[in-house]
Amino acid sequence: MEITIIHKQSDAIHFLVEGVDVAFANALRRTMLTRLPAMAIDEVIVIENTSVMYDEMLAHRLGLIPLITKLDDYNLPQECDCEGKGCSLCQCTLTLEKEAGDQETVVYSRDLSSQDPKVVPASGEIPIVKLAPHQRLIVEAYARLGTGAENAKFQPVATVAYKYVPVVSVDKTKCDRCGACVEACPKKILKLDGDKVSTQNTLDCSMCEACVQECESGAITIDSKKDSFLFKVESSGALPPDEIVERAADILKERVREALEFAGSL
Amino acid sequence: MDIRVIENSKYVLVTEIRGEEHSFCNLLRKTLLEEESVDFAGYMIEHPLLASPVFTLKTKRRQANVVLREGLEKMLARTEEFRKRFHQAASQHETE
Ligand SMILES: [Zn+2]
Repeated sequence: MEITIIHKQSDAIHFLVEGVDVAFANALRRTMLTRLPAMAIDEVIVIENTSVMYDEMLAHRLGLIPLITKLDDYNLPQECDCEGKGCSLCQCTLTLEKEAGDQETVVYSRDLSSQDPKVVPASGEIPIVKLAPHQRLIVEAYARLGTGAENAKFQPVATVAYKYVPVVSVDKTKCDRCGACVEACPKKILKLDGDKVSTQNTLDCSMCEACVQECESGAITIDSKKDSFLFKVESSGALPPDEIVERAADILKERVREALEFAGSL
Repeated sequence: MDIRVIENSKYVLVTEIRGEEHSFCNLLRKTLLEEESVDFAGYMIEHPLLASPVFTLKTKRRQANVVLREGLEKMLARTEEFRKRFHQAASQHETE
């Protein structure tokens, strides 16, 4: 098994895994998507809402705001000593109080103030509701950990996907150097290099096969490696992308260990 | 994860794996099929929302529970290797 990081940004990571099968890649992807916990607002008490938006709609919008999550600081409610009733170990209170003056005002996610300074909206720029002059909003919200299996708002990832590693090959004996494939490729994988067609940045290839269709002499073939996967993991902002992958691997490991415990008892 | 035995004989093992779905079962199936003494490995989910997967393993010559244990150990080792290598690669790579 070989792992190469291609890009690493504060909110996304691209990496190449070689020497694993589809089942493993898919198990990892699904674990990141549905098993990895993240914080989200799950209960809202509307103390005052004179805006045009219904309370339920407002609660729904608050629930969808990604919150920065510290997984070691909170328990999953079902694993907490309070048995899911809600306590300071499994819940975080956020409050929002805003009144429009003589002008209409937009309430943004940055207006939420949290009891825990570490659990704050991942972005302050998310609009929640627009208030007309003198409309008022007072809300108390409770955030908790949950998993994507329960509700998609708890997913710490925006995108988690993998694709096969493309293999683009040009048969020199068949190629007539017409350059039609160079024009056709939307990702600029092919280039005319003197008197031959060569490839560059093949990892960007989306395998659309536009070049194969353009090539009249049939010199280009697009194939894929069966044991290598290009992963793209984009965080919602709740967790850093590398932590998402590592925690997901830990969760998968824990599940295998549980099954192994059972198998040992047979 | 809560596993219940439905059938357990020398060469056949049928279990219901509560709290799991495709991710785990498909990985287990694929890993078990690598082993030569496995005759059949597969799972069925009766209903996508209401039922848990029922996993069936049939083996020849070797005991089913031993084969299952080996398969799971293989999965554990692979996941551990992935975790280790990913951590190594990610910590060496600068954030852009
Ligand atoms: Zn609690």
